[in-house]
Amino acid sequence: MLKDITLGQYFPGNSVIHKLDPRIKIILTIFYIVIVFSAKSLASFGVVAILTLALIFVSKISFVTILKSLKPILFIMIFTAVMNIFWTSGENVLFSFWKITVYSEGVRFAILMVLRLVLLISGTFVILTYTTSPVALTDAIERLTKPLSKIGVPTHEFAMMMSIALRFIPTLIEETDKIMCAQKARGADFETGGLIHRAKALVPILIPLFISSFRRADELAAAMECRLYHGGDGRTRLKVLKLEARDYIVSLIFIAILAAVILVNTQFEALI
Amino acid sequence: MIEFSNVSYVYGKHTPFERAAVNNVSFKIEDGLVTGIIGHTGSGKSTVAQLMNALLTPTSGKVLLDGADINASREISYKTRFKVGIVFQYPEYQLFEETVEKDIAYGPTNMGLDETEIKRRVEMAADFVGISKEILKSSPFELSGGQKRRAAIAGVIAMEPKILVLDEPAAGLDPRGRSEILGRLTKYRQGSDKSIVIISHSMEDVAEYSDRILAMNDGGILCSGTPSEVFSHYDELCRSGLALPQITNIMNLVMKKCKERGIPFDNSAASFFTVDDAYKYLAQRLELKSEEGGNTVC
Amino acid sequence: MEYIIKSEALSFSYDEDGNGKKTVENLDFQIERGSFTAIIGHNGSGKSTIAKLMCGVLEPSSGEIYIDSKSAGRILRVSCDEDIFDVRKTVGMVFQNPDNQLVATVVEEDVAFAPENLGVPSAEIRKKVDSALKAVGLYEYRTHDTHKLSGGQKQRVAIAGILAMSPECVIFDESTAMLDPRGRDDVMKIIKEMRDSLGITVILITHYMNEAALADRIMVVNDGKIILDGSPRNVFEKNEVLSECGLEVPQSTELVRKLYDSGAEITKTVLDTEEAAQAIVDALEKKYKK
Repeated sequence: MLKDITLGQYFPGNSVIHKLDPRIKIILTIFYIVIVFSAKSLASFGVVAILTLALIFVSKISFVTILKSLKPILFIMIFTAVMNIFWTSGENVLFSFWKITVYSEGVRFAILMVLRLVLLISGTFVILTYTTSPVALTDAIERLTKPLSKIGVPTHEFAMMMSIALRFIPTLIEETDKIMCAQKARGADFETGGLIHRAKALVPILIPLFISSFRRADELAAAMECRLYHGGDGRTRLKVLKLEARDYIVSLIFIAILAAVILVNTQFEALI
Repeated sequence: MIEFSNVSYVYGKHTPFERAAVNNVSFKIEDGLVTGIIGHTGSGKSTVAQLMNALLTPTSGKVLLDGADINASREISYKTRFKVGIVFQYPEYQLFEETVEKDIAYGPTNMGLDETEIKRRVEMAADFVGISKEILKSSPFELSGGQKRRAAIAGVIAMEPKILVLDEPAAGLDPRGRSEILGRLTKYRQGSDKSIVIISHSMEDVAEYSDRILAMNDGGILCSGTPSEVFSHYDELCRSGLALPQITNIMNLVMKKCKERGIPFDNSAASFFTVDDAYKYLAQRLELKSEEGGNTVC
Repeated sequence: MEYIIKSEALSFSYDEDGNGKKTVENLDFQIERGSFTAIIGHNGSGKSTIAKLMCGVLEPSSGEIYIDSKSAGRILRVSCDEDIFDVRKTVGMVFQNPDNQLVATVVEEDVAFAPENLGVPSAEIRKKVDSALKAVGLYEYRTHDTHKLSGGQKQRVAIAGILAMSPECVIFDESTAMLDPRGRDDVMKIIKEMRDSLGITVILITHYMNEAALADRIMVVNDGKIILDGSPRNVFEKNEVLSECGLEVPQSTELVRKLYDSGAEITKTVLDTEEAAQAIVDALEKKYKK
């Protein structure tokens, strides 16, 4: 059944990471990406790995979930590794056969690249995707991009569209489910036949769905007008996002780690 | 005849949202009768409907149509959908074709019937629900709410199912539209062995049109039988949050008050559910002349 | 009588040029401040159009509706563009489909929508939201997802969303039509409560006669005209006129009326099951004691 699908990848929770201000989380995500790309040696990657593990631990997201999130990029990881192992040249030959020579630099580089990908994905997922509700995310994007509205970018309208879309996705999924049931009851068959047959079978679902979406949009517009909606000008909000101690502390930790990574890069390069 | 034998259905099995919608239910829907299924939202009555034509497969137990398991194979399940026709709530939201005629023909076309037979069935179904020839040629989206509802119902009737299942067929209609559509639909079984199942939370509708009633609560069956049998369980029905038909309510109140004041009152009259029955009984008790108000048909 | 809404020669047609069939034709009526009025009629009778005209969703083709707004401190005209914002602020509307009027994913954010649009400071929005949610009995659900609520609960959130706007009048446009009996009862209780303890003028558009019976006044609309207007008792008494317009009196009213018409010594018109039972018992008692 369609309604069993959970929306987005948000795992509700109560951890410190869940509670961080969503605006800070967006900034921290960017910061995190900078940290990952700053790491240049195995030792500095170790520092980033410790940070990422700590984030996973604090957020209480299970390791299995993290591993699952890496599955879609498995191919890219293997591809990157192979490319680096065989096409990097260096001084220390590890082994060679036929026309291929593998250098130890290549292996080292491959490991670093794969590590970078793994950390990048798992870290950003833990900070942002898994621990921030889509609503909070939209809200944060609206507030962060607010300065852009001064130069004519419709930031409020964009955010309103996003949040209405989020609000109506479950409703439309439910509706699709109902229409599918009704057409199945009239002998529609979505499961057998070739691609064209299946595509054709979708018409009796898509048309009613479109028509009902337009009707809904129309009614929603009237309801919003009745509730005095007149665009973003002069609009206040129920929730004022306010930075709290934990937001500052986590930000400081991130800055410290960036500093540590840079330090480790220069100091311990020779050791490995 | 449909038979449910120890049927359970669980939504979202092995997920945190696991919930038994139907719990070990057994009953029979007999041929040639109108069976009403009542229950409040979440009682499992809509799940029962979807189990009847194999849109849902029971988690455990069997659904038998004329003695054969409808979930035995995919093909049997598919064919069952033409024998047990379901009209869902607000069926007008499933209309999709350019003309009403084509929309009604969708089911029969899926059945693989030839063109003359499809044409015959479309005309029969349109006539049955009261859709005129001109409307058949127009777009379903230009119709009024009531006409859309009829067109959508005709789409199921055109499959000539042996059992017609109606989930809240009159929801959102005004009183005239309600009695007209229910009056027409319950004629479907006349002069044949076809049967009808009406699923509703409107007690008055179910009481008026059903020969048998199945009251559901929390995924199980609370009581079943003829309407007067079921409504004689008024205390039980009330406790499970089901509203009784208005007349049953009145007669119950009258009975209780009569007892307090020492006025004789027949206990059997407390489970009356139609205006006519109650009227006849009270007219007799009040010794009224029957010719003035007695022109009603039972 | 102090009116809150007054219509004068009000007409409306869905055809732009106004030559087509009029959905609402030449209506004059007043709604008393603080009253509870039910407008009934069959589907397509024009009752919903009247509702949409009163809260400024539709603009009259001709004629005018005047709204005496306390918050604006003057009399507003619905067809005047400068007044329309204040009209909507004074007269709130709850629609039929609960799904299509909720804007936000979280209950309290949805309720906050109108005060947010009004530019109310955050602390005050919080107060309005909390008291509106308490009024509809959903305060405990304030952080829940709107789409996981039942139909009746969604409709109560929609009502809270209107209450948070502090309107003087609320129109319910068939707001109970898509609900189950339980949801309908809950919503009807809140509607009564709004009038009784918050003093809000209530206009209920419906075709359920037992809901209309709870009002002080019923207006029966047929073909865009008001054909009956009076207290529920007066309106239910004219059961023949009602059935001509495709409406039915509640079965309790019907039963007692039938007994009355056959010559029983019984009240002519009752409004609900309680009254019907009482009337019947009284009649039985009279007969029994004779």
